[in-house]
Amino acid sequence: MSGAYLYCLAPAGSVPPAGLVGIEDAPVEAVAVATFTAWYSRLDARPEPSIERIRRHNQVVEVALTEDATPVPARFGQWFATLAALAEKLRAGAAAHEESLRRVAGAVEFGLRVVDVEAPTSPVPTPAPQATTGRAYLEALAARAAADRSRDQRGQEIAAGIAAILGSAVRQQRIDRARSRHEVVGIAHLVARRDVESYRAGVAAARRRYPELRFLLSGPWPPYSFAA
Amino acid sequence: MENEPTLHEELTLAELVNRVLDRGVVITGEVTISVAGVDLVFLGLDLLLTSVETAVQRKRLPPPEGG
Repeated sequence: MSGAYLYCLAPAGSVPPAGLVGIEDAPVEAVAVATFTAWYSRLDARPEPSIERIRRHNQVVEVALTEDATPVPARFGQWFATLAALAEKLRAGAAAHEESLRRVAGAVEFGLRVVDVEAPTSPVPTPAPQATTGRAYLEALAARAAADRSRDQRGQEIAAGIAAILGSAVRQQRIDRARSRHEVVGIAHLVARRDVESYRAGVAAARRRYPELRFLLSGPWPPYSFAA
Repeated sequence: MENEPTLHEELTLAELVNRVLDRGVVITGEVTISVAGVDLVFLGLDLLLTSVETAVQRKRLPPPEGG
């Protein structure tokens, strides 16, 4: 008996088009659970991750994303030994999944990474191995923590400034801490389809507001960042 | 300018990997996927970080002659 690999949850009545295949070219099927459907493929084992399989996973989710239906994407790697086991898990969390589907209905996700090209290339000093005293070591640690706090604060301020410019074009946002010296902040925006043009115009306005920064905009994506 | 499509593809792939591996609803309780003992979520973040830094480096390159 084959297992079931989950791609996404979709509103009731949303079913894969005939001939759609996913990971390992397995046909994509749908099972109704509570008030929604789950898109899955029958696979004998949990698929090992690869770029190709990640692309296939996303391609299936993108097919589920239409003008009339917005799916809740699943994270890669969710495989169940039987279809019944998948359905049982989904039924157990049905209320939360239904709430997620309501939250993302009619919307898509954009990713915005704000980069400071001119940020200093020399890192904040880390405690040097040759630091001879405990005091020097602690001072270096404190300097690094202060720099991290300063960068986080700047990221929060810029995210707030961008949010003010984008206004009602954004339904919800998720802010990620910067992970490199040049990244100021990463933001995921949930945007209603009808607001996409005003969102793009807002991003252009934000670029003009912060000419010293570079904005890396990606999307529209299925709403991965707002799935839970 | 020749590099722009490649950079765009690189960033898009990094954003895709980050989303598919680290976002999305989790039904099973916990999903940890690793290769050779390294959590793929961190590999996805590394890819993203590297792409951002690549974008920065390319931004710093002088404009092409006559451009």
